[in-house]
Amino acid sequence: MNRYLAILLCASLSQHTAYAKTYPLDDSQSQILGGSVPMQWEHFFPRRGQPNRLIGQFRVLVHLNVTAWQGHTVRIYQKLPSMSTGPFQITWQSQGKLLNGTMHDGERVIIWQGRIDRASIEDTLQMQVVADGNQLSRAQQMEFSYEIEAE
Amino acid sequence: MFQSNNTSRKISKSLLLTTMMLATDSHAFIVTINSGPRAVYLRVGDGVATGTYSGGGTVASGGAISLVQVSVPAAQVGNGTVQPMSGNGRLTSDWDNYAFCNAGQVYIGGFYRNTSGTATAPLQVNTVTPLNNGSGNTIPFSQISWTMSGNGDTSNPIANGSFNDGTQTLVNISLNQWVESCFTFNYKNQTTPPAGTYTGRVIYTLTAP
Repeated sequence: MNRYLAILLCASLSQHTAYAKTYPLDDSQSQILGGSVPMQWEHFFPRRGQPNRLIGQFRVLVHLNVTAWQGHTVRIYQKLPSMSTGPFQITWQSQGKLLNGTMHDGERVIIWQGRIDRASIEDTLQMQVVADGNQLSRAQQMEFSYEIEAE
Repeated sequence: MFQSNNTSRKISKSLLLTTMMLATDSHAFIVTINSGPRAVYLRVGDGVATGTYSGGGTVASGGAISLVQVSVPAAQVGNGTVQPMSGNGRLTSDWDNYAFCNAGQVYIGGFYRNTSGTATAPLQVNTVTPLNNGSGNTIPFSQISWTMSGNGDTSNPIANGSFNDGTQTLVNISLNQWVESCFTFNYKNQTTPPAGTYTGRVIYTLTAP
């Protein structure tokens, strides 16, 4: 019986190591406020030597389900996959619960850090997207996700 | 006993994390961003600007139609001596209010904005309808030529030339490029029309593909 338990334990620890302590986080109740994001030219006039950048803004109500992590000290990351029409720069401001920050596609950044003492973390992020106007030739979908890891 | 307790804690931790993984429902919120809007801008002569671009201003539709004119002395009509013409209108660039053109010249500037491909926007001019004196006498616009310049410019985006009494392309403006220059018009004076005042209108068109 003890031997069986030990084997099970090893298997479980191996699985733990393989995921490098990082887990996807349920944000299925997050909500984009508004529809698709209209992008506008950063500069109305183009000028030689200046980047032709597009800027758009949107708000998102982020709802992170951290029920299973209550009592643990964790880091939560915001993640955006690399996009072929990038680079994209995303800057956001929170209402105070999540951290403000900047990231590019293909990166993940810490958006929350501390001890979980509630079932969910909610905040409204005012997000700004900056895109390369020479690359963004059609509508694009940006898939933001969240990961959590124990400290 | 100590090992047993330690093992027990490890089991608890491993099971807890496994449970967390099973309970976690991965998700991603998806936001759709649109491509940038097409935009086209053309100013010939005055145009309308509120402030300068570098000062946070913007431009709008409107402005007076520039007048370019010349009076040919009776003794020289039709002798082929080129007669310099004089235009009016605002001479400053809307970028920074720089005095880009000189008195007598006519400013022209424009751009084409889009997010795709290598397409260009043709800047065309139409002179199909000739100058006329209201009594049935005409002078073809091909009697008028121009040279291009701009203060501080080392090259001109529009070549020197003459109207062709039809529709002609002055330049194809590249994607997201600003083009500006100044016309200096000249009357070739190669015809001998009846005395009078001849007027006509030249129409410039910038087309976004």
